[in-house]
Amino acid sequence: MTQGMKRALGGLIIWGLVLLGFAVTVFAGGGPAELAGERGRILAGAVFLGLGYLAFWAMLWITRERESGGRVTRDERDLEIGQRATATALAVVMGFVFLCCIILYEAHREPAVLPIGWMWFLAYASVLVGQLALALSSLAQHLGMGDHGQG
Amino acid sequence: MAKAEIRNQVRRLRFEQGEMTQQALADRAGCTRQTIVSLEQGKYVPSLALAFRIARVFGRTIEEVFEYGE
Repeated sequence: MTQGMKRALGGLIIWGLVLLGFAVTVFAGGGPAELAGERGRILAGAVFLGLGYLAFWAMLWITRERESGGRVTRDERDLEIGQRATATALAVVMGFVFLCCIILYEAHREPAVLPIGWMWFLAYASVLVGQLALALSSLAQHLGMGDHGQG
Repeated sequence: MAKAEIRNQVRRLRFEQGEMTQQALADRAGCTRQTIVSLEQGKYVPSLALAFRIARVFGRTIEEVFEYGE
């Protein structure tokens, strides 16, 4: 397994768990519309995201390039996969934010009042969706390019 | 525009070089073993620089290793 694939898999697990905790925090207590003023839930969401980034950086450090007798651990193919995955994640985040905004607009057009909790939800959710899309896209491309092949 | 396809003879050439392993080829060409795996499966098209390095490992010209077709 290449460094890129290890990181994609690690990212998928970490951000998947963070999304799970985030979803429970947001939707178990009444949804984003009722978030404003609930410091406990807001703090819990921030803690989940913070822990997610700590775990993610730890995973990046653990899977860093080490001396392997001059053997190449990352090459042009890994860079290409990274570029494609980033482009895919960007498109997914754009689509997610666009859809959320349009749906919220339509849902709250009358009487033109949007509960501020939705802004908090959009901020956090777009980060999580972006990280998950990046990990998923990267993993899919590693598998699609035959990373499981035999030596 | 027709889809271009790059075929290669890497697997056959490895075999002809006394069953050279994918890792040995990767080490000499300066890439990862997974890149050689992808190349042989036709799932990855290498850069020109890598294609030249692979051809050089086999002592062949680039046209003898890689073939362009539409």
